[in-house]
Amino acid sequence: MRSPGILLQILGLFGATGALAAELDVSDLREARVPPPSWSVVGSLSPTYTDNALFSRDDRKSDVYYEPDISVRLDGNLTSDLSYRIYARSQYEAFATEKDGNAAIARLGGRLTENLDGWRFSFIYENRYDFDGVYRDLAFTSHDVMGSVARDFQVSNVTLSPLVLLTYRFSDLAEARRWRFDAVLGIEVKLDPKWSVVSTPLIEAFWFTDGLNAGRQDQIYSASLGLKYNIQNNVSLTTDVIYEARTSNVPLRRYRDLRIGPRLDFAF
Amino acid sequence: MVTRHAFVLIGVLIGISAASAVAAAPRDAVERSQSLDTDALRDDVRTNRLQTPYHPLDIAPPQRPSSISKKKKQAGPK
Repeated sequence: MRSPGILLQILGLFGATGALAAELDVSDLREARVPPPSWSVVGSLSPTYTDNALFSRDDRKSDVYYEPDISVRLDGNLTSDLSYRIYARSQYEAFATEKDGNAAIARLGGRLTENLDGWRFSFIYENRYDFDGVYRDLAFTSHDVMGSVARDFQVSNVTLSPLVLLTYRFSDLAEARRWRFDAVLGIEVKLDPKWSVVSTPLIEAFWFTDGLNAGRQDQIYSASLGLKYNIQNNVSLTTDVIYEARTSNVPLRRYRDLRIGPRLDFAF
Repeated sequence: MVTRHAFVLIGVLIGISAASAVAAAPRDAVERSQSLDTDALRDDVRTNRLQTPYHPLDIAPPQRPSSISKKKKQAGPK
């Protein structure tokens, strides 16, 4: 005799839970109103001096190159902690003398970022077009699939921004297919509201999988030290010294390089 | 016969050296791509330090999560 009563109680509980959940959903939607998508143009412009323009192990040639890197982005939120970005990015290097070093990349990509307790987990897809010269001849086309984890830590006047990134490149050029791992630490020490000392040490590892490069393994170690001046919140000028060394199991691919130059970074 | 073998040997050597030169070009497209990618990563770190303003093409000014919590706090004591 008691069983129908228990059944009713259980049904009532489910019903109440359902109603509560529906109410929570509505209130959640009200509370977590996501901002509308926004457009931005973000980039860097720089003349840079390098003491190894062609990344040669033995034949070092100094040169100056100009490198703009400009993106148009659409950023938006799907929920309060899940954001997306759709972007187009253009970047090239134009050397004053060593024209063989000229190269350009056009990228179209999308990114999904989940923010969990300050950690940013991103999944990124990028369709890339690599050119010889400054958009002269298409060298190869790739599809990069990436996953990254990043976070910012603020300790007094120091901001630490670690990032790890894993990429696989699918490409129509067999030699370009590879795994890539990056570990980067952005460091900014604020001296006052306008001036900062900045550094970006990084380690990269590459495992090439196909073609003539099959079995090739490269590692890049780099450190930099710079002085940043904030012209505005969205425009800064940084002059830094960058040292980069690449080791490889293909001896000819080893090099070291020192670069010095100012760089204008902006976001509009 | 010896001359013919010598020509074949020279031909093979030229072929091998040409192929090696192609494979070992100091800065081919893959090398240039690797360099631009590393630079792009540094650019990302630098531009992430900037405060991106909302673009004038925005239809409405976005609401930051902090402003929502502020409103909640303001509404609370009433």
